[in-house]
Amino acid sequence: MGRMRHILTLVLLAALAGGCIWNRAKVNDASVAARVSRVAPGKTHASELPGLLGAEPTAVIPLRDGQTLYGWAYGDAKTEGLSLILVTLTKTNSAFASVYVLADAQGVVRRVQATPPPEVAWETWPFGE
Amino acid sequence: MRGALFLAFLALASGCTVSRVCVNPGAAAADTAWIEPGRTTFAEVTARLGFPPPSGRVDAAPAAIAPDALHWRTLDTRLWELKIGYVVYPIFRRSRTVTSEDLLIRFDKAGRVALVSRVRQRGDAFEVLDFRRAGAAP
Repeated sequence: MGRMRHILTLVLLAALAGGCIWNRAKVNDASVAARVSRVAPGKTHASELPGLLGAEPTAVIPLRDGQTLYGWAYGDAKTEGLSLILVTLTKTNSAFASVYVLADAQGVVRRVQATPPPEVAWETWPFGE
Repeated sequence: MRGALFLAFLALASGCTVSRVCVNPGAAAADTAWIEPGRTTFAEVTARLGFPPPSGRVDAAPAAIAPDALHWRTLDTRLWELKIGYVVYPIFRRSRTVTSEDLLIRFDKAGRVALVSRVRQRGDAFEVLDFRRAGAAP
């Protein structure tokens, strides 16, 4: 009887304790940053960009003097946590970056800026600085 | 009896959650001392600082970049949540941004810097790291 009670307690505790949490969310394809070398400022036209980079821009931003900024955004979010019976602790670190291509009023690419895919740390403790 | 009540409480209480969410750490920590309002141009700013990343959502880029403004943001948010029950449960939630760093650069019609604003908030403490406007006395 005593052994049975121990087993039941263990099963109940196992059912109540969620355990550890790891969650990762990658937003869009960061490999677009590796393909920006295909874009030649002064030669490439904005209409060629989706074909060269392998994706439609996530943002098209009109600027002054007819210039247009095309953005391909990507990011990474990592959540790590500890789920106990009554308390759950989690920490989420997320970072976003973009490839930006600036085109002039004629649609000719003038500048390319590519930020490497962000490095995001796995962390659990949600307190402190 | 007391033990059974305690176990029933454990089974019904999903518990509380303490979470922390950091977005774009370090993104708004750029050096802005070299910027001269009224003289420095949009091209010079983007050549040195680049364009700001989206903050939180990939479709947030248009909010961070406008013809007359560039906006970098770093956020550190804490969230506390209490859930009781399984089938129907009320959720008590409280969240607050404990640290935010914010860099805003505005441009005039000629494409020159009109405003540099860099602020940091930690809890209730609000620190202005840089705030300069074109035409204003230094």
